[in-house]
Amino acid sequence: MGLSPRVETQMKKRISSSIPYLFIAPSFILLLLFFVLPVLAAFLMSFTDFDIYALGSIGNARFVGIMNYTQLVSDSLFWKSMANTLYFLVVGGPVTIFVALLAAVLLNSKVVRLKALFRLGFFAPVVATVVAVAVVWRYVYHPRFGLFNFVIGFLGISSRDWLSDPIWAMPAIILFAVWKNFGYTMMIFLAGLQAIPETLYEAAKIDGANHWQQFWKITVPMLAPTTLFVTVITLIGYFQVFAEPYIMTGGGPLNRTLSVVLLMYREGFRYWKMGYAASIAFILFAVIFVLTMIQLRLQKERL
Amino acid sequence: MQWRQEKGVRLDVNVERSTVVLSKMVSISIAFVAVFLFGCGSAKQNGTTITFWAIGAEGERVAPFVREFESLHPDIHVNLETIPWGSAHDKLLTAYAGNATPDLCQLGNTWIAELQAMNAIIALDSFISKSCVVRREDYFDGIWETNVVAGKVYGIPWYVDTRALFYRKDLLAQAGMTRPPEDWDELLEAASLLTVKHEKENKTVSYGLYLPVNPGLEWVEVFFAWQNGGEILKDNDCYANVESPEVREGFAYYLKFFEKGYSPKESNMTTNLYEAFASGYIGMFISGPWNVYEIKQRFPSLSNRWAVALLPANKNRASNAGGSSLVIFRSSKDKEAAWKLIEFLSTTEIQRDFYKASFDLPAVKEAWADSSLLGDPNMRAFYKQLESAKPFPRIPEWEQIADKMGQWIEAAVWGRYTLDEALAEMTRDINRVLEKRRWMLKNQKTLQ
Repeated sequence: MGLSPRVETQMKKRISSSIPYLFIAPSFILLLLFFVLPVLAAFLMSFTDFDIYALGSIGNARFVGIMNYTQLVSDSLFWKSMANTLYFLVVGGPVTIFVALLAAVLLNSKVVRLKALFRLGFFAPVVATVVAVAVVWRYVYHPRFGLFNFVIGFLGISSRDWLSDPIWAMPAIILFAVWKNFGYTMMIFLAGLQAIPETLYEAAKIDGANHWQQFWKITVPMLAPTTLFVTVITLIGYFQVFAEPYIMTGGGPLNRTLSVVLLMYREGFRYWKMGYAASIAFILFAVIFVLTMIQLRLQKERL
Repeated sequence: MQWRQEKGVRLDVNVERSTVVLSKMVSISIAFVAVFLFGCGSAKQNGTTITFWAIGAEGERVAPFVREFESLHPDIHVNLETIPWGSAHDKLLTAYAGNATPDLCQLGNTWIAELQAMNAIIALDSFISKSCVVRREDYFDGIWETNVVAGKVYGIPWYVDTRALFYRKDLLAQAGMTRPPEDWDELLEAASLLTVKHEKENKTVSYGLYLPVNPGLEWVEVFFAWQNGGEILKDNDCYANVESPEVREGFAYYLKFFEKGYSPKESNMTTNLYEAFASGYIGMFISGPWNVYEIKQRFPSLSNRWAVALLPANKNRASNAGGSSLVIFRSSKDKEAAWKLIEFLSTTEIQRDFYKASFDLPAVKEAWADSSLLGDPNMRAFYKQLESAKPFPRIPEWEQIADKMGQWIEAAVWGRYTLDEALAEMTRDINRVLEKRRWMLKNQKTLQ
């Protein structure tokens, strides 16, 4: 007595429809174990005052509700770090994208020679370890022996102690970050530029468009999706700025270069105030999420 | 059509690549298994194995002594691991969280309270009472005290340090002072004599005394508060005491050097102290014994033109009781063996030899009798300074408090806040940091 054919096909269907899940199961389980669960744990932790005492005995942790968040809102250091991060983002982001676009267009033009060499030169800082180059740049900015003061001396600008000056420390770090990061953005732009069909430019030329018009009417609109991608990536990356101030200034002078992630690191891994640090992490997550959504919405409207 | 072909080729490449990766993975995992099997076999000799974490350069320098210890105790195998200073603190905490602590460890003595609060290290009183090597009276008072939390001893001092005054003898003599400054007024005077301003450009050519703009974990502002008879915390270290007149006056003295332009407003991270001192850009600075060796090494030609003096006194000459201690972790399986290594490293001979290998000052006073130590006037200054060394409050929150104080001092140095405003902010911050401690004590939670 076998199964009726109807039941058999049904079973087969069920098995075959569950096979895809089987295939994604390993990565799904890994994601669950090493991403979703820790994130949930951190979220719960942000409602406790988990700290060094709690590490000794879990009974010393208290459930504090949203106290971490309210304390954070009243913490002048948090707002300062937020302002610093926004400063870094609002100035550094556009500059990076602009420099990258400029370099990409130049590298893509037919008049430039030794393209491979320039491409390598612009991209090399991206590959270099941020910590190592940050240490080198600390010497570049040295008040008395630094290369930077030496170079701008020719322009008639008086030398100063860039990284110790409350006003100039952040611009100095932004300059470093732009130099370090624009190569990556440039590569993406370059790929985008190469995807623009040559025929468009040829048609424009026949219609009598000059280079400037070609750039604004063809290159820029055709690069819009690439620009969107680059902007989102830069936004997310720059919001999490950490290594540059950590190595070059330690957050000083006067906490003028203290970024949100650096503050989180300090609270979490130096003072082991895990609950408080977790709440910073979630606020950071929320801010990045919202900003990215706004950006995507804006771009969608424009396209 | 062409496109399709291309895609086909690409797929082949991918397949090929993935097989290469696969075969690599297989060979790596075989290697892992092999290391695991044979590795375990060789490590487990008969006898016991203890893991010893040393930090920074000490890790390398202690290696020959550990080998000597092993030859004296053939039944004990010591697994010596070196961790860098920069990440030592993080690594210890994460190791504890991950249940991977060593048997014994070198510990900066300001961290003892923290690890004690986490219940990670054990009290050593029972070992000390039985020991004929480690005796309380052989150690400097202030240094020993750093290891005592709530009446119990958690660490044995291994080497010590404190801060004293480094000064340029030649420059000071040129300016008309033939001996180092003895008290607060003289320190100000010396700093003013050594500060040289360029007449035309309104630029400072040289500064009298280097003080960190953000003293944070260099604690110099704390020394000044202590020297004025002040204490940073009060009520069993539960509340800030920085607004008391003694502390306030000490901090005001610190700020005076910046107000008068005797100290440079330069970031601690960019100033190269050695070069600045050698070139005369700064005439004096406050630092630890390792710099005696460093300056000698870097600028041999500078010899006899600089010296170390005690910190100038006000009501006292307090400086910090620094250095490293050896602690035993609760998770250790063989605490007796770990203690044996501590005793070995604490004997007078080994302490003296370790000084010669590392230039870390011996914790055991007897070991100082050697001519390379008390015969050297600079080292003698440190010996005397150690006798008035004072421990920081032994609470886990101390570094955090020092950090907050540093930030508000910095704000006052730059003139963003008046001293009184900065002190009010400091008090608020410190009291907030100590909230958990007050709760712990109120609820009789174990601080042991």
